[in-house]
Amino acid sequence: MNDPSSNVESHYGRGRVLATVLEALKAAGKDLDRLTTLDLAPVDEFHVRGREATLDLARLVDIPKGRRVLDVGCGLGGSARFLASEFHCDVTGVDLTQEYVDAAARLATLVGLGDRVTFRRADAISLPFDDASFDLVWTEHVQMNIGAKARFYGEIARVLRPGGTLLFHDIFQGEGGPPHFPVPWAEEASISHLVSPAEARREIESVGLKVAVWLDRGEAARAWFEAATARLEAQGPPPLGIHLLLGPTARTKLQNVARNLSERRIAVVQAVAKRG
Amino acid sequence: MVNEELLKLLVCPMGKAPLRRDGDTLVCTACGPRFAIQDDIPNMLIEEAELPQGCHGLADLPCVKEGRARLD
Repeated sequence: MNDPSSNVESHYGRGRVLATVLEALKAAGKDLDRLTTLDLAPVDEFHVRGREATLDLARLVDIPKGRRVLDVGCGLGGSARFLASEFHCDVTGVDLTQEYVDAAARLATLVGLGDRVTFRRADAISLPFDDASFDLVWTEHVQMNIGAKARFYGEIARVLRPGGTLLFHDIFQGEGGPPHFPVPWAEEASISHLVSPAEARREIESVGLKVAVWLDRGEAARAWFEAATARLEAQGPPPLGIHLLLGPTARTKLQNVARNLSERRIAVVQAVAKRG
Repeated sequence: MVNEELLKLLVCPMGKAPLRRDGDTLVCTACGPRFAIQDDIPNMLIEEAELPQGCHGLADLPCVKEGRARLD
């Protein structure tokens, strides 16, 4: 249990994450005393299609005000802050990586959401919450670092109240063969645990969650990466972007995601599942 | 600032027993592992919790011995 999670933590924990983000915000001309969640979006939405994907996912269901939400694998907390500010939800974010939860809490305070978003350091396959604690569980690009799929989805189902909703945006194995590495979630294959969309769906339904919406977003992801790559070639890297979190192989990782998408080596899905 | 209401949602990640607040830590009321709160952020990783006296590893926790929590 110790080794897989500590390898994942050391993949994401790179040191100076918060300082890097704050310096980049200043370089982009942002006033740190008047920061908004939108200012942070280019860097704190650490997933394919960034803020656009988060909006798409949130629109799949009605999220009434005051809902209690858990963001599993929250990273820097971009989605958690978005849900709190947009839908006035009480959001708890959990992540394995200390640096990320520290930075997430600090960024929440900076944008004035410190009272509505809280962060805990926790392991997604051993969640520190009682049964039926949340109305909605949100997760983006987390399960591909977790081999124990049944435990992952089982814990989500357990902490959801009956009738509660799981919303996810995730990467699965495509039919075009194994992905080219490195990718943003793994330097090499050992911490990448991709399963096919069909297998993921079986795992989800095996823990008592019923899939209500299942959308293949592979084409949208491919088009987004194509546009982002073209922008990068023309203008160079922007001061604010997820490349800040990807370490020295950032460029190769992003190129590999684009290539894996166009060769159908990875699949991108957004889905809604309900707890019975 | 630790939001006390949200703190109440937390349980032990192993046996899912309630926690009690003890200064800057949260203690499992069943088996006793102690979780640190650092800069208002509870660290709920059992691998980093302080184990109770007599427990030399996670396998010694009563909830694991009694089959209420799994190590794999």
